[in-house]
Amino acid sequence: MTKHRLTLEHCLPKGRLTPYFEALARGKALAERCGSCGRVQFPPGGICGDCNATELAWTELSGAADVIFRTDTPDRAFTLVRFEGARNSAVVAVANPDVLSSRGRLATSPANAQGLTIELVDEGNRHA
Amino acid sequence: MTVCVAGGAMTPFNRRKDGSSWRDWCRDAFAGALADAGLERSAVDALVVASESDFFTLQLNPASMVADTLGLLGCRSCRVEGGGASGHLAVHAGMAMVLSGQSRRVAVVGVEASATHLDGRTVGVLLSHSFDSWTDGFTGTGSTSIYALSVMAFMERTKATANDLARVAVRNRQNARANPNAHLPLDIREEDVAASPLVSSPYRRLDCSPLSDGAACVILGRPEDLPATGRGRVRISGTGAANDRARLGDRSDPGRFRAKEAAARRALAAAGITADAIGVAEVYDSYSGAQLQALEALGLASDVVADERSGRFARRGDLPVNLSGGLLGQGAPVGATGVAQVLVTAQQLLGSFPGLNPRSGPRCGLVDSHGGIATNCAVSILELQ
Repeated sequence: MTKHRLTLEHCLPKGRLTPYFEALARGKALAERCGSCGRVQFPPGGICGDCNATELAWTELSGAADVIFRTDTPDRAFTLVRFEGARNSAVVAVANPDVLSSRGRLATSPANAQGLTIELVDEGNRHA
Repeated sequence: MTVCVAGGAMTPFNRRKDGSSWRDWCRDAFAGALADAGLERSAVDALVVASESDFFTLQLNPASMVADTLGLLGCRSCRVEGGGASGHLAVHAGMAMVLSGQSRRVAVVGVEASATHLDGRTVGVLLSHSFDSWTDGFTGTGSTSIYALSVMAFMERTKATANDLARVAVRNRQNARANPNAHLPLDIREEDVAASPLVSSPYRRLDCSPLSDGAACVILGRPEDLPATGRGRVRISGTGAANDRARLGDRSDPGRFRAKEAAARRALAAAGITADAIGVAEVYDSYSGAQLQALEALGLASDVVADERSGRFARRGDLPVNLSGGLLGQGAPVGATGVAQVLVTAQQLLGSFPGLNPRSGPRCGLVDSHGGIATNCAVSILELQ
């Protein structure tokens, strides 16, 4: 048995989605609005999920989100949520998994973690 | 034109602790397939290698290395990748080579070292990039959490329960007990599933397929290019493939496997049969609930939950599913998984599978695989000639 250690430090340009990731770092939800059919999608994908148009304009959402489904791991929670104003939904990490709530708000992602995170609105319900 | 499975072989799927290498596994599977098909190495004129990730083997350009390892020189060779469907899509690619006349006898070798070359946590991190790495991957959303969110949508719509999922996990592990190559042949009950550690609700450890090491090989060719073996032959009578949106949230119903529906329709149409002609199936059960979601999408049940509860998918049922144990029981070395699914289905139709064979002697079998969360789907129909 031979042991090898491989350390990778990726530098990943985000191209056309750069404004979205920059907004995300500030805790802002920047969505795409289709110039052809008007669909608003968050997270964006660079192509309209309804009509495949590529003429898309940036539009800012409130960042509020409704929880559709939630799954809990031993130490984390992830939800499928729909951000207010968006047609599609998104899989997001939960910043405060001890809170049980059907509402949340986009949270600033931890440093270098570019994915989506929400903070659930604390309505007094706690995970058992 | 007809393309047949000339022969095949697989290594045991397990967590290797014997010091053997992934190259050894490829060599063993290929040698077994040649012997099974009654062919010499020199008869093979093309190689398709299926492997999901170079991170596991630390070998880029694996097709060239596998060809060299197998002593295949001067051959057409390439690698096919499609996540969990890699092996199955490689079979489709090999079939296309035969159908196009590019090759006469194609060896399809699937391999993955998912279990022992890296620690489990690292493998989990890598596999989380099987979805959208810019969203799911960077938040650390693992495969199980994404499948969990999907099955919750399925359960809400169909009223399937955690016990329905557990029954699948139990039955596939029980089926695997007769399979000498199976990774997890377990004598368990539904209560064992419920008592196993939580991974991502509602999924518990025994609802999840294992990370396995192993390789599998099938050799494809036209009947006129293959030696007589004195036994029946199985042909691939139809194939279909289709993709879905990569992000679960971009789908209109996150609990429904739409791409699998399309792939199955195409495969059945190509074979000129309807779903009720299928007498045995190997279905992609990466998770217990995913098997029910797949059976629904494949059109193999009008009410999948009622059929599951009635025992229709058990060995004595109308449509035995995953007699090999499936991914849950036989195991899942990703690149090898789909190749093995095709192999064991062919063997089940011939009645030669070294585990449970269908009791009714069906003529047609269905093989189903996918990558991502039913994002890249492959379906094949196998038929006794």
